[in-house]
Amino acid sequence: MRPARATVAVLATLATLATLSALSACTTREQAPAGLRVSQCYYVMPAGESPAAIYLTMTNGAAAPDTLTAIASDAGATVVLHGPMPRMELVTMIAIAAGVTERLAPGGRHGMVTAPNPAIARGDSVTVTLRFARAGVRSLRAAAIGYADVDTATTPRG
Amino acid sequence: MPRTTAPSIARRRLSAGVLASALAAGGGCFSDPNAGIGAGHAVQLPVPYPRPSFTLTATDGQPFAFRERTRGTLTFVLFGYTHCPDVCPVHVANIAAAMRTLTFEERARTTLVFITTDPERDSLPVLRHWLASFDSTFVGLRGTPALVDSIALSLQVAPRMIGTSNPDGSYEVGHGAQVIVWQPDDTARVIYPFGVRQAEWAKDMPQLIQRRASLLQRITGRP
Repeated sequence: MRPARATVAVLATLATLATLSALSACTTREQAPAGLRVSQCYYVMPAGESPAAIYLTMTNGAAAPDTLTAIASDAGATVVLHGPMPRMELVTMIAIAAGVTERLAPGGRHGMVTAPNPAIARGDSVTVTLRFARAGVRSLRAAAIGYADVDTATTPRG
Repeated sequence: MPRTTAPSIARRRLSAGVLASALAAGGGCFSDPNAGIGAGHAVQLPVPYPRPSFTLTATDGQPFAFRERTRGTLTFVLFGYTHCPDVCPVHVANIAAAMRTLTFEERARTTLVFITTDPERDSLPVLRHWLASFDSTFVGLRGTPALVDSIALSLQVAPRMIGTSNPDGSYEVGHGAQVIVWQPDDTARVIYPFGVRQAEWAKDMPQLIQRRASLLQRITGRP
């Protein structure tokens, strides 16, 4: 099922819902320019009444550096990027040098989804939208998994 | 709120020294059930921790005397908070998954105790609901921040640190992320930092549960 709720918010750019929805609607992963690739994107359903998480991998195959400037999802109200424990400071952008892979990974930088839609079930997919300074907006589907699945879906930081 | 009776570090060092001397004197007469542990993330404690005495409130609202209620079990203890989106639920989910690989007898002698560092948001029902999403037998404990910090510090776990404020007004709580493991002989010899995979937990758990109290420990009551 697709979550009915389509509220998205952007941390750094403060882009409006209408702007981001319009951009994501006309930019898919297949149509996106080559160079920057987003993969292994997972939405981790919340335990109890807690926030949810997003993990993903970004590989910059382009010759120029790029920067992730915003992230949003229809899985919840907002997506906030945090740095690793113990400080978990807010991250407003992630620089991705040319030829480099950066990850949102367990124990490292990660996306926190606030007010997650409780109707989303394991095996569903949600939309995750990323805005890059050079590559523009990328929108992709992320499988909804549980925290027990994180072990096999991703690799911890380190 | 009941007060903690944290273990005396001086006594711990003394007893560890006595045990070390006894083991040295005994030479190769002792086989070490923990010998296979530590190939992965496990960190051997230079000074073992005896099972500590403290009392916090369990999710049923009753006092939970940790030492008495967990004595003789394989006990995993970690500090954290239920609003944590990353380290806490991944740690707890991985331990829960590994516990499901234990035999019935092993599982019956194994406990996980989660001590909240965020009592302001982690009410007893919230804590119960969150833990039950992983395993309904997991024990959730709650106390005042000062009491929980004192227990953490006595176990050389970093105290809580109210950190990042999120745009929606919520906040994050920094805390020590290691899991301390008391073996059935009521001694903790290893801790596990974040990053342990389910396969490693599943490999180590049956070995960790083998350690029963030695005759020396049963006589002295110390590790």
